[in-house]
Amino acid sequence: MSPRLRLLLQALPALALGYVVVRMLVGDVGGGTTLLDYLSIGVTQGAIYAFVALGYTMVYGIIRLINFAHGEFFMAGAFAGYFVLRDAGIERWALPQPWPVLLAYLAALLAAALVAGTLALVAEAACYRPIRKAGRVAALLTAVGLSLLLQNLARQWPAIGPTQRPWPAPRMWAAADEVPSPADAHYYELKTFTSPTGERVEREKPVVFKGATMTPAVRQRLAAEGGRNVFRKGELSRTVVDRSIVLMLAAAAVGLWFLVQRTRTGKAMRAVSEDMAAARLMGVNVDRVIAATFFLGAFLAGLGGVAYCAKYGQVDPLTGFMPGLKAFIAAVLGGIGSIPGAVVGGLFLGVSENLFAAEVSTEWKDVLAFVLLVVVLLLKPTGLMGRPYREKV
Amino acid sequence: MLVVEDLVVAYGAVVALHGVSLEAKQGEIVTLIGANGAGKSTTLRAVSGMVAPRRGSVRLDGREVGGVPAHRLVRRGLAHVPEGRRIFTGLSVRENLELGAYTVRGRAEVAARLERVLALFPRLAERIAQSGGTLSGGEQQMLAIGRAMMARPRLLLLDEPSLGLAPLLVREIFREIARINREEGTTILLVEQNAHLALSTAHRGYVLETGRVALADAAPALLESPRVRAAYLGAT
Ligand SMILES: Nc1ncnc2c1ncn2[C@@H]1O[C@H](COP(=O)(O)OP(=O)(O)OP(=O)(O)O)[C@@H](O)[C@H]1O
Ligand SMILES: [Mg+2]
Repeated sequence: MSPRLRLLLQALPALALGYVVVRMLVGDVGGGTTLLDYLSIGVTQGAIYAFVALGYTMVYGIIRLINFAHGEFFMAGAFAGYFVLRDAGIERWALPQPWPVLLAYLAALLAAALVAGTLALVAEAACYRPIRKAGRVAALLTAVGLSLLLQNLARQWPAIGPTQRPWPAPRMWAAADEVPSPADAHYYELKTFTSPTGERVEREKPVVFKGATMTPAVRQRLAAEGGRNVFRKGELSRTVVDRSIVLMLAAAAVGLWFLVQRTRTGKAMRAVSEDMAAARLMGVNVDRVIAATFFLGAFLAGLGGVAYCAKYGQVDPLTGFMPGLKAFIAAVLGGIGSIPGAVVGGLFLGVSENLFAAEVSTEWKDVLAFVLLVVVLLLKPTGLMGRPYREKV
Repeated sequence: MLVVEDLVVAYGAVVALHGVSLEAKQGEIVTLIGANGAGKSTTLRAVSGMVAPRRGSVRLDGREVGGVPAHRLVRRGLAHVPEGRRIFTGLSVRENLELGAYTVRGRAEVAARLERVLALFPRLAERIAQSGGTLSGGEQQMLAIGRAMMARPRLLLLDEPSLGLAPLLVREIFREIARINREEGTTILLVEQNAHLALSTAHRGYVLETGRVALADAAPALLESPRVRAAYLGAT
């Protein structure tokens, strides 16, 4: 790389940062949102990337494998969380009921983490362990194959299926004449059908769309349907969701740091990462340590899956694809193999993407991730926080 | 303590050991000498479970351990300092030593062993917080041996502890090896290029030639043997 290009590339981050600071001071981006809002969205989104990036980086750190199926562990976790929330009947609750919702979410997070972790254990034992000595290319291909397999299994599995599902949210009931004008959200009615097989099926039927003006005619129609209650989908307050996600990330990062640096298992992980054979000679059961690493990484991905879907309001078998890809980029940006790197890389990517979306273009947002990847790797091939790797001979 | 019989080990199509038999009794220092590629390291690897034997038997305290994975043998009192030291360069000296005691339960016990090993190698005490990769070659060798001693093994396998060290340091290391054997009662199986030093330290010795035992005798007798003198001691 020529020195001039290098200088230019190095100046870019400083320029970008300077610009952002000035824009923060100057104010509105438009539509009442400030750049600060985008910054906070970026932090939340970055925290989710970081959650998923941690798993990528841990698995890479220990066996130098880019586990492309990691996004599917995320998706499996998201679905586990979905079923818990749905079966807890969260949709039939009226807000505000903070405690039951909190409890349901804790249960959903736990289920997500355990399901994703268990899936990772099975995948490791069944797919990765048998080919561990077969070289990196074989492992990479296995990972890609496993990713596709899990996506398609989810699509075929009757309980999941290929369609996108709305994320379960409490219903906020309102009397028909309480709907503000223009309507502040989509409003629904509950209809009960008898299906051809004789089952009673409940379905949500939209009756008023968001932004609709509530003319007397509309109000009359609502009232004519018996004056029954309508509801809108309650969202958990965005600030609550955002703060919980960031808090969860902070807790996970600190916990992980403690585990890796301070515990016996963590020391074994670092030893295996450096020299598997030597770790064995210390009495370390290498297979177990690798399995534990997969489990932990997927455990976090499961949490990330619920967080992501709760934030974006839907889930489907491809849910894990984009966040998985972004998290992989975040992990590489931060320096793959480095735990602080995954956190920094995730936050960096989330914030950059959202500032870019605010200032430049929303459509090109996803391209930015790849551009950033190329620029950072050109400047610092080991990533933002990466130490130069000592390759084993 | 250790009995190896008719051991055959192959790496794919390359047969490295063609039926090696040897023995180490409780409290002995036994040395394996031989030219490059004779199969010395392979013998140690087969004993510690790093490679599985194709044929023959390895018995530890009378129990067959051929094919038992390496990490289980550590709990049976075996420690192996492999060729090239293989310390964990990214971990601190303390962490390296603590990993040596991975199979040991109880903080107090680990602390006691740490103290003992640091008394054996005071230089490690001075560098306890340094990362393993920043140690000199000799210090790394001390760390590798110290790390193995953390498990308080009954049988210690040492693969070329003198590799790459200055003569003065080599003598220091060998003094420590003899001391470990004397004071801790550790049985030692020692592979060494420096045949003179090895035979002066050991009680008994085996000479390996292309995967077979060519000679076996008490160490002083081997030192006097014309064949050994000619081939390994550089005498004419
Ligand atoms: N991983 C391996 N794959 C294939 N062949 C191997 C492997 N390790 C050792 N060998 C072969 O096995 C034979 C014995 O090797 P070994 O390392 O046991 O020798 P050594 O006596 O320890 O030699 P040195 O004194 O050079 O360390 C050699 O011919 C070597 O080429
Ligand atoms: Mg050797």
